[in-house]
Amino acid sequence: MSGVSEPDYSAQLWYGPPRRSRSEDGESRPPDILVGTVEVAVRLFGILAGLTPENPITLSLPAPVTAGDVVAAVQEQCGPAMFAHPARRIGETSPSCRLFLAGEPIEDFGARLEAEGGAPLDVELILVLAYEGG
Amino acid sequence: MNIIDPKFGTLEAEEKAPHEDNTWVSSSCALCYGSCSIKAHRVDGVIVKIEGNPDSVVGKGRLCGKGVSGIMSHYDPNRVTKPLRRTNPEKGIGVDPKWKEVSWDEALDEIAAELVRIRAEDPRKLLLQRTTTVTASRLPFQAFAAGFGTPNHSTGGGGLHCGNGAHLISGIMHASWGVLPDFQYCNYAIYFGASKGHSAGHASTSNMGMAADARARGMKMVVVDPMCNFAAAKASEWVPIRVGTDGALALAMCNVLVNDLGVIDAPYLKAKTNGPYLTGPDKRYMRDAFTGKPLVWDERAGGARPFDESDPADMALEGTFSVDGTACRPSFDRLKEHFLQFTPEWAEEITTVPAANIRRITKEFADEARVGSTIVIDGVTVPYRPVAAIAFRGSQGHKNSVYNFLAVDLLNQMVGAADVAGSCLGFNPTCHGHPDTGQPWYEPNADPDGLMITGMWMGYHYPYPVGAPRLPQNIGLQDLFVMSMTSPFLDSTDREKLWDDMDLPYRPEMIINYGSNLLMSIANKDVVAESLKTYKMIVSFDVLLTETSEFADIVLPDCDYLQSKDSRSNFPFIFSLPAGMGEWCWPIRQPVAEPQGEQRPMAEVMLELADRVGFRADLNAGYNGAINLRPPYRLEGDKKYTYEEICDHDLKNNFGPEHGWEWFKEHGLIKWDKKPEEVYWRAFVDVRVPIYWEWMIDTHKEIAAIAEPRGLQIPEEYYDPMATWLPCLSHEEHGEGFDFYAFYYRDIIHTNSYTMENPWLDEAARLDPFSYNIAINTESGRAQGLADGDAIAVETSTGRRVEGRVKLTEAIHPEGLGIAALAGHWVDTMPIAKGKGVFFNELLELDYEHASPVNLNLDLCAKVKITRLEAAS
Repeated sequence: MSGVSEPDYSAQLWYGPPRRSRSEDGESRPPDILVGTVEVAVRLFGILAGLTPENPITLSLPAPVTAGDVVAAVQEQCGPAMFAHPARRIGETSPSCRLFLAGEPIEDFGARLEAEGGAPLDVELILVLAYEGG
Repeated sequence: MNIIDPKFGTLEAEEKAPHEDNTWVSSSCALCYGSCSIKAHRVDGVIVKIEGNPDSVVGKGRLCGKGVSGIMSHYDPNRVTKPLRRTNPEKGIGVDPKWKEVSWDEALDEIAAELVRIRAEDPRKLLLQRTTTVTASRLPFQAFAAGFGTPNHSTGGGGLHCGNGAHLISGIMHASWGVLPDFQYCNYAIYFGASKGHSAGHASTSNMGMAADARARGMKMVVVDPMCNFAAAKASEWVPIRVGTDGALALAMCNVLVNDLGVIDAPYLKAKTNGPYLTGPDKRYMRDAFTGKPLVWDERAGGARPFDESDPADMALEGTFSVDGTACRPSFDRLKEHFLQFTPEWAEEITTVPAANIRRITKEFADEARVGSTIVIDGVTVPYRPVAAIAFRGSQGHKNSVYNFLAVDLLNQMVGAADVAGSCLGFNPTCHGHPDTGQPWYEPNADPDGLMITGMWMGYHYPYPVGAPRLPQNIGLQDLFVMSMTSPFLDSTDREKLWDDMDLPYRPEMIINYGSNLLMSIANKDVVAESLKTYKMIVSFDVLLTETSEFADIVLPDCDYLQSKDSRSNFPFIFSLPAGMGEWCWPIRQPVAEPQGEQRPMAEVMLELADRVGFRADLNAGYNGAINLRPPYRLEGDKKYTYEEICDHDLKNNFGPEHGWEWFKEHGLIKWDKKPEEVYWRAFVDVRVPIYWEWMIDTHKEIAAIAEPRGLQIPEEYYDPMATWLPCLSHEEHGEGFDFYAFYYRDIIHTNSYTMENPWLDEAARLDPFSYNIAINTESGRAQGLADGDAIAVETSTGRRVEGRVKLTEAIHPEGLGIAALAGHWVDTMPIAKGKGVFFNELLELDYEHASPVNLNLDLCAKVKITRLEAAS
């Protein structure tokens, strides 16, 4: 079955530049080296602020730390019930959970969080929850 | 020129020149959520004219009848001008609240005290409601909800009809809030219950011009609809269809396309969909044991490989293969076989569309798709598929909301007509930002399975990936029904039972409402009224006292769109931007007139409330989170910013320090050119879309595991990975005399229930034979002994009833009964609107049984019988 006029001019656009598979290029990502722990100060806002006896909270997490790790640790302390859609698997977290590192929004929850000079990480966390249409 | 103004009397503007104040102000309309750019002419403090802004992409200088009539809503003598406090504790439909004027201080003191109590007890007890008409209100409300700490934030009263299916599927398949044809290049468009370019809403006036140009250019337009109105009347062909059966027609067309005609875009399906993903006997993906990635069958390698380790050109779309001894097939292969059951003859029985027509239309669509072709636009070569199948509120507004919409989009997916030149476009899912700043920037990206996550959305409740269902914490149960958006359970008859059964740990106690008329916008009024009575406090920002205001404890006099400011006329900014090539455009809204009496803009009042309650730092964090404010423009600590300062931060955050509020006040908007790689992004972004919804299997199991032990059945047939046909309740109702399917349609003259009070629009509606009457097919009506103008009662089997006058017409399906708009107001405080038109929503039940068990969209049709009450007067 084709239905495709020959030549199929758009095929090359769909396929894009040729890819090399991981096994073909012989490269593999080096494993993360876990060295010590990272201190993370997390300031909680909104509904999360009322769920811990102190705010900000200080976390001590094994290095390297990702945004997803921080959210998972906060979920542990605050209770996952407050998070709209708890993570289904590692690295997949509800985008309604907004995390800022030193004021910069972090979009990729799998990204490694690092502070200059090994200082404690300064994180803000708020849930921006809304269900709607329009 | 004499300007008759009901509040200020007659002005003889030209005779009074020279004027101290004679100014055209660039701003944005808010008579519907299209938010077209306007220029408002103000003379000596009085707005004398509103026109479209020709400098803007949003409307392109055009303004519809509603927009130019905005002046009459603005100067409505019934505007609320002072805070009002209810003195009658009894609440009910028609019960006088016995309003007492109070000061702002008194009103805000009382509101703040209640907010303090609730926030200390459980902030989730607060429900925030907004109208969809002023979409920019989303920002202050979203930030307030986030800062206060409630997830219960909804629009249109939780019964919003337009989008649980349309937005969900447009998001998953096109990374967009909705879809429409690429008017600039499309040659053949099929509309299923949609009116893009011919009515109201998203980018309405821009699209009207583009659609008209496309028709003049020769674009053939086929409109599938129970009624031949705004879109169908201008179409090449109207296909009358039985209400709510669009999915059956689309599935039959998919069958003809794929199995009879054999027209598909195989390279597209291999590279840009999950069509090649192998599925096992349990219908789930076959996954790589090491990486967990879905497997494909690599024909060159002769074996299964993770999807991202195989060249798409080598992926098999069809066949049966063996992986570690398990027989498996590509999901496309399953889908192709699945389509076989949907023959045109089968579809004819369900839809009433003749099988021969189904084959012909599909053949035309296939021929026009020009699969394999490319086109060069602005020097960039992109795939060219000048066909589009689109859907919107009509087809997805049913119990089978998800599949009805998905089936339509599968037509596009089969031929690669998705976000390429001429095809079905999401509106603006990829933006690489203003040349000076690179902001706003967003682009779809892939999840670990390679499937598309939208890069931009209405906030952060993304349609995909679908979250893990849980025992609900939200009153709408959206965290259980994880593919839902607005929820009927805020007000439904079964809400308390559901909350009890699901162990919801709190009950809502307070509503802050912004302009929604909940009594009218959801379903029958009695159910909503009973719900509203249970709240301890309702606060409503209103420009007019509506049916819902009667249930409020405090009414706050709101500034309207001509008295307000917003850094974005829409939220998000692309909401009103037309798709296709052209320019990006970011307009603002700014005040043209002073408040009347003690009116105050809602956004400023919400800031003051946060200060009175004591959560300004949380509110600032809410704004930072909602609009991604970065240093140095993020809101710091608990600093008390004005709303104008927040707008200034938002604008500078996106367009740099030179382009703050003051710059925008002068210029009104900012524009820059779109690039083909943004508009026709599909070939340039490495993401796939799911033609096979594999996650539905687990999602159903997880929801059922929570809900069914608590007595709520989750029907499995709604959670199959492949779109299928499932009837509405009305299709299975065969009581004697119940011969018609009642439905409503958006009247181009009106927006929701609000504009009914506008005297110019009311006059236009009274001149239109359909706006305030009930449309019935001429032959069907005559068979019932009806003539034009007869008064009839329309009744459901559950006893819901409305009355109105008949308009007989050939332009409606023989079984259809069409009611326009959201009419039928009954309060004295809206005297123009009172008693006009027919209140369709009164016919709708509001409960789980009448909602999609997947996305909770309400079933918006009802089987009815009609009774003649009296002859035409």
